[in-house]
Amino acid sequence: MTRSRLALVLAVLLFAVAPGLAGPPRPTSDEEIAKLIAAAGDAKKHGKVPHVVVLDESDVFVESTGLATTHRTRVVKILNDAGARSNAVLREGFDPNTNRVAIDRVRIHRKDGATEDVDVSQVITTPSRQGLIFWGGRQHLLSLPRVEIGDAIEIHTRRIGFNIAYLSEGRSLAPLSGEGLEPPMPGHWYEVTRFEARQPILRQRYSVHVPKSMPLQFEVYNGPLRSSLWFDGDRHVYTFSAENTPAVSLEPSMASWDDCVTKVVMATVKDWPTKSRWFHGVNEPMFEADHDIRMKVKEITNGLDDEEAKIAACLHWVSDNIRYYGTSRGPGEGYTLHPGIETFRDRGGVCKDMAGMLITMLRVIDVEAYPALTMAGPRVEAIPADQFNHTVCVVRNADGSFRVLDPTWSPLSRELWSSREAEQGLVYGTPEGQGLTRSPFFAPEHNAIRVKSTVELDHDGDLRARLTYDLSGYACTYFRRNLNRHAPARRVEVIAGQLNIAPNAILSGAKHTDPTDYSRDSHAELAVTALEYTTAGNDVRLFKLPLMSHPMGKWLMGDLLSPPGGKDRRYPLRLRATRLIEYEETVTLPPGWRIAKRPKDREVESGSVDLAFAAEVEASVLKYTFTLTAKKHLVPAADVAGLRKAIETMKAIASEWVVARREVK
Amino acid sequence: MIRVATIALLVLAAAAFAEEPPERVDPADYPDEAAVILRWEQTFTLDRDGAIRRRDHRWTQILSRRAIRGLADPRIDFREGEDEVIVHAARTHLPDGSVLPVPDYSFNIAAPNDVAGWPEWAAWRQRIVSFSGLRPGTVIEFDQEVKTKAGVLPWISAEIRLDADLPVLRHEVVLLAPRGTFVNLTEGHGLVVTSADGTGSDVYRWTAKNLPAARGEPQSPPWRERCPTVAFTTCGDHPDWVRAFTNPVDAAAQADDAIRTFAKKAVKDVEEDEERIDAVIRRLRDTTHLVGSWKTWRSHACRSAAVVFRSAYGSPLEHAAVATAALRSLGYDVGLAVGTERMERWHGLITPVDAAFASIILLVNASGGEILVHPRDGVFRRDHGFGGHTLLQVGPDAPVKVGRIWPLAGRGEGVVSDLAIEGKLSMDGEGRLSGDLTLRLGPLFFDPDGLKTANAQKSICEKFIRRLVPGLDVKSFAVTSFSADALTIVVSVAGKKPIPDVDGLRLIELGSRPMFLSDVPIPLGPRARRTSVALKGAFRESVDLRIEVPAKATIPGIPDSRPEVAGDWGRIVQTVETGDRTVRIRRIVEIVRDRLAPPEMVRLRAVVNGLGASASTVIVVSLE
Repeated sequence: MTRSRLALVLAVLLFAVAPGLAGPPRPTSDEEIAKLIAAAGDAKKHGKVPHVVVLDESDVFVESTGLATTHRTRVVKILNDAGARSNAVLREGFDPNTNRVAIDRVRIHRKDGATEDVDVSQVITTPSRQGLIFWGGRQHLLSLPRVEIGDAIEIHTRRIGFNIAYLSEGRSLAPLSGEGLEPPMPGHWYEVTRFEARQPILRQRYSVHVPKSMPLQFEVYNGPLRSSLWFDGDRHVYTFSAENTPAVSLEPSMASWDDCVTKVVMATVKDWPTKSRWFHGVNEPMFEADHDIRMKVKEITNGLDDEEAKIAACLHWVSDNIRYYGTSRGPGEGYTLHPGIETFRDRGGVCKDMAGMLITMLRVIDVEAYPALTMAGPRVEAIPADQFNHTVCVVRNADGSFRVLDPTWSPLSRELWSSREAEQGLVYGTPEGQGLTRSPFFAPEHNAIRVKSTVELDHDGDLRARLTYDLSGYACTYFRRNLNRHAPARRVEVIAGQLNIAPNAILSGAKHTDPTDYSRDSHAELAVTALEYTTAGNDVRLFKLPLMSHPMGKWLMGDLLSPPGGKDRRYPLRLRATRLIEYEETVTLPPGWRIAKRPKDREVESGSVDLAFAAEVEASVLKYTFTLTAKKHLVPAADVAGLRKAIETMKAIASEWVVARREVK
Repeated sequence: MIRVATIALLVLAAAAFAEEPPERVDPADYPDEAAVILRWEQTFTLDRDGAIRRRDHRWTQILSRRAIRGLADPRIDFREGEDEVIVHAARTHLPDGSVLPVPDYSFNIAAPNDVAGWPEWAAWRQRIVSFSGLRPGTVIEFDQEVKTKAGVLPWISAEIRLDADLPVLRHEVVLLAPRGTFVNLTEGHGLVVTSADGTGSDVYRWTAKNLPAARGEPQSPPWRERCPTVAFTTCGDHPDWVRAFTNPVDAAAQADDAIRTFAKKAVKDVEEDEERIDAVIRRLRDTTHLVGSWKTWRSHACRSAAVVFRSAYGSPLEHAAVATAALRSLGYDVGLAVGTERMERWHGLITPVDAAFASIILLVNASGGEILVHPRDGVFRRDHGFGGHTLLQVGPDAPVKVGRIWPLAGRGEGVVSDLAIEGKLSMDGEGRLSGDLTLRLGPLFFDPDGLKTANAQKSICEKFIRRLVPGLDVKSFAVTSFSADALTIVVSVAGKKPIPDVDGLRLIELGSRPMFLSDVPIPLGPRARRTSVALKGAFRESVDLRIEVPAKATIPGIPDSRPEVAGDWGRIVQTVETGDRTVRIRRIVEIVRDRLAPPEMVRLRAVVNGLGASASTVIVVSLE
């Protein structure tokens, strides 16, 4: 067949199998599914991905209560052995407090065109695995008949839940009860749907059938989607679709998935203040303090005069004494905070409960505190859909402004709001209602690593160095956390393991601040010895700049030590925080020696990272300063090259030899 | 919810009779510890009807918040329908003497990670108990029991470490078995045997006191090797034990059409027996999930090969059944044996405890003789990580007490593996290095199966040459000898580019780590060492490198010689000699054992790290 004939056949075929994309949305028929599978191609076309998503089609029927039922059809075609292995069992997870799921039909389409229906009565429902949050998650399991390369699996499910509640009419399916399910915000529905995945998606449609009385607002982010609005009796049908979406290739230190992939965000809630008032309302009864809490607050604020110090004392107590684990109180779990009295007694809870504990304690000392919703990591888009995975505490200042506090991210930290949570979307839960806002940006100076190093090299080439560290923000926190994992007697040994200066470097002395002393930033003084640090030789010796080996660098700047991979960057890169690294090092040679060559001065300026290295030599003394400024925690894709250049320059300085020569008399 | 309520009632009932916790320790006496186990009682009971009970009662005092994460949420694995979990007590004794029971909502159920998501083992559950009120000074008391119904397990068997990562002040292990039951057990460790108690049981009691914390360190030997352990089993002798595993597999290994077709397709166009066997095993591994947890074989259950094949996932026993069925469908006579963990794990017992099970091994009768086959990894040409393991086989006609036991050697086990490079490099007038080097490798340092192509052979040359002198490229090579245990290659090398000029000097930098380290790691970081170090094997790294510089060049800096450091463990020495325009570096790092005592490791660390210093590794050449 000639190439043009083949193209014509494919075009006709695609047209024939794509009727669902013209006119009002309708489920893809069995015949159409068979054709889509046939046209989906194989591993030659799609590369190394284990399977390709041939069809992902959802019809969401929203009730006026806010509950909804999603009918979903998903067809995947197996492309290689890994795809066959990973599709041995169908798994559908759900949280019974918020969702119920039914697997209605599963059909295997064999490569030769034969079909095999799987007996869905064999579905087994079990608890799911759980990490630190024990909210009773469950999953349906269905063993599938062995599939081979070229086979496809067609799966039909219904999910009823908080964001979904429509018991379909005219379909002979087993009833799926929504009894006991009540949406967090009665009468409202919201959803965030992604249109990209780790596998190619050949056709994806997402239709929301919503009563006309429930206006739905939406916006598409991170890419284009086809959309339509059709009238269907007393409902509006919003449809979003995409075809032939390639697989997403993960990039090192990539920004959050939701900030990168095409998605649609939908909500019937009018605005953020409505959400804010609701969140305040459902949680306000939780902050009552009892005698024990009042006594504890009195104890930890005893002797502190100003409110700021009292707030910090309460936050540190919660961070350090309330351990992270989640237990369920049944319906409402996940968005209602546990009573402060329970959290205090249990000395445990998840982020929302830790926030609730702090609010309870702050109210004891008459600080106006409320819970706030936030999203750790991804952006919160402007559409007022629930996009939150984290709860924190917000305090109203005397001038009416607000400040945020996060006890979950503050264990062993001086930071009352973590520098890793810069510019996060927030909605404060106040009585009057607040709009969407953002947490503060942290300038690099906030997360400073300032090191002064004095090095002496003797006639044998042995090194003796004194290093003084002053750390703030992110660096201060991670110094504390790395030390506090170990018993006090072991901490010097742990620091010794992070020296990097030379394989045989020895920590001959160390002093450091107590990781739990929140009255000051972290400070450390290290005395280091490295025998035969320079190359051997009578008249010439060479060595590398000791501090540029970044002692303790893995703890303080691990994310900056290696240049980010990936040449053609498509997505932003996330650093753990902004950073300012300032080194000052003086290297003194023994009498009778002089510095003959030192690393050249360098400067790099880019949108994301700046670097400056400047050295000067006076006879036997080499002094230099090195500054690396990571100006953004979220580096746009276009700026990643600048980051890479700066890091490569930093490595080049570190690997460059300094030449010392014996002075000729 | 009903079950949670039941458990809560049991706990509350038990709380009414709350026992006083053992006397607390003074934290000042344990400055390095985050918690101390004050008392630990483990009771194993074999009931007359075959039911088995395992009770664990522990009091742990928290000294530091560091301990809380690891102690706060214990998990008990059990199988619904076979096991019953009884929580006798779960409470926190607060510093003021009051007691805080675990609230109802803190008893939760999950699926154990190792079998979660697999329908065949969906009945496995994990009860998670989250303790309240934890802080330094509190004592966690947890008393729980798992009762396994009669008929589920053929015998009672356990392997118990007496010490822990925390100090243990008192640890008591008790086994109760119906009077007269044969018990194969570990002697010592304070064992006291009482012929019978009031229930008509024989009572075996081991007691250990004041055991220091025994946390592992990087490359510590497994706890079974370094920690006091007791073990027992009521299984009669090893043939019974072997048959408990092999008989279900043998019975399940019936091929259906799908397996026959699969096997035939897998060996299409393959002639040699070993290759045919490997082809079948490889296809099986590529298309079928292995769920390796002990939970999948606890009761020795094995689905039929046809069912397992169709489901595309299975346990180690089930994988063996499918592999056996597939090979038998090709006409091979396949016998079955059991591979067990290292002999010391049996702790002096005649019969292994169940935890010693490592894998079913297939014994395939082929035209050239018997071929040992791992059902997941294929033909045993190397260790498959099976070094030191033991193979147990019971012949079909053998009387019960006769079996076959032999060790499976790991690659490089029992020999000293060579890693040697010798030869000469010359620097030209522009600073470019080139020359011929001979590379000799012993079994720890190469895998003959991975060297079948010229590219693979070139890669291994580059790997080792660059560990010695970074920046060298392999121009050509010739394999002069190649067997399963020895490889010799002559390699022509050249620098990628001239060595850069640094103020009129050229630096030839040898690797800052000895060449063996990537293949035989040694924990060179920490200075202090409490436990022995386990190495992959004994080896001898030997370098004899001559470097020649151009006629007008000088060599203002050469690496330092290092005096020989030697001991029972081996020796390390570096000698550097200069001649007219040449430097000769000879280095030997020889470690003759696969275990190093802590003082040996401390010494070795200092010497090996010293070899990485600039003064040991850099040759400075002046071309002017």
